[in-house]
Amino acid sequence: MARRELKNYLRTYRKRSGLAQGDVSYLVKARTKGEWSRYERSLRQPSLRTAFACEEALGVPVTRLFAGLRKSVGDETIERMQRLESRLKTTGNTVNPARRLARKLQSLTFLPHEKV
Amino acid sequence: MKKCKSLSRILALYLHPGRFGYVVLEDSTELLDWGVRRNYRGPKPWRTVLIQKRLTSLLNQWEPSLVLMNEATRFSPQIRRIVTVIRKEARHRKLMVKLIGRAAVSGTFGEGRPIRKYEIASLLAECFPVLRWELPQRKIWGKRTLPHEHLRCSRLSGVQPQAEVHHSSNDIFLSGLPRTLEGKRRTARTSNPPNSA
Repeated sequence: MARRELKNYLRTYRKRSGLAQGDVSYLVKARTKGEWSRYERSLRQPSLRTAFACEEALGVPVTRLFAGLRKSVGDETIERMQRLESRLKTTGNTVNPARRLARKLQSLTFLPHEKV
Repeated sequence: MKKCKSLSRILALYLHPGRFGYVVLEDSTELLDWGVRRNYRGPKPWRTVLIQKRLTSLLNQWEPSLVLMNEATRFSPQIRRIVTVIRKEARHRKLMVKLIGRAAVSGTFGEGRPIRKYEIASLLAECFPVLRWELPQRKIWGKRTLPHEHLRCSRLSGVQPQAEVHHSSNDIFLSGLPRTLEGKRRTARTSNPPNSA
């Protein structure tokens, strides 16, 4: 069984820093500590602004703080890229001019899904 | 401790009739969460519901694959009820539940010899530096100073006494004070406190 990352590790890093929910909610400019609690329990997703504030406040990169979310979004995007690539290969000749199609396919090929 | 790769997250519980302590570990080495959840509010049947609620929130958040619990030789009826609740919840989520006895704990931490809770806590604080500041200060039994005793004595004598209260068996006596003051203190304790004015 492969290790499944949690959606976020906000609670872990907050506790490691010794800060209370009220303190961090003030730091990241959340309205209440209840809002922060919902972020910790993954009931809500913070905005991009709040995510960056979390990074600053806890001293941990966003990709580590939201490891599970990052992975699921990454996987989903790679899947979509593969689908787009195959779609372009089949229907591209009629819709796209040849040069633009070649460029699109090149950018999709250089992206990380090829390495997976 | 043998590292088990297939088990990603472990929820370890320390059960008590009124509360339970918990620790969440990832890959047996990374400490994710720790704390105490209390369930003393409300009448007894409600407490079981409360425990279930608290446990469910933990299981939902951390999604562990193994639940560990302490095993006592004689569980109280309340703890037995809590264990039943935990087992039921674990079965519902298809989680493994394991009990760990005292012998296993002392075998791991004390290498066979009996070991105190505080020593275990100190060893754990060494393993997980995050917990070092949570380690309670060791109580030194037999000798301590009580601030209110200082206050009471100074009120009586008008001097700053160096009162050290020693606890020996059941009796409490003062050292560093004249006998007369000690007697006054005893009478002050039995009768109403004197007017400071």
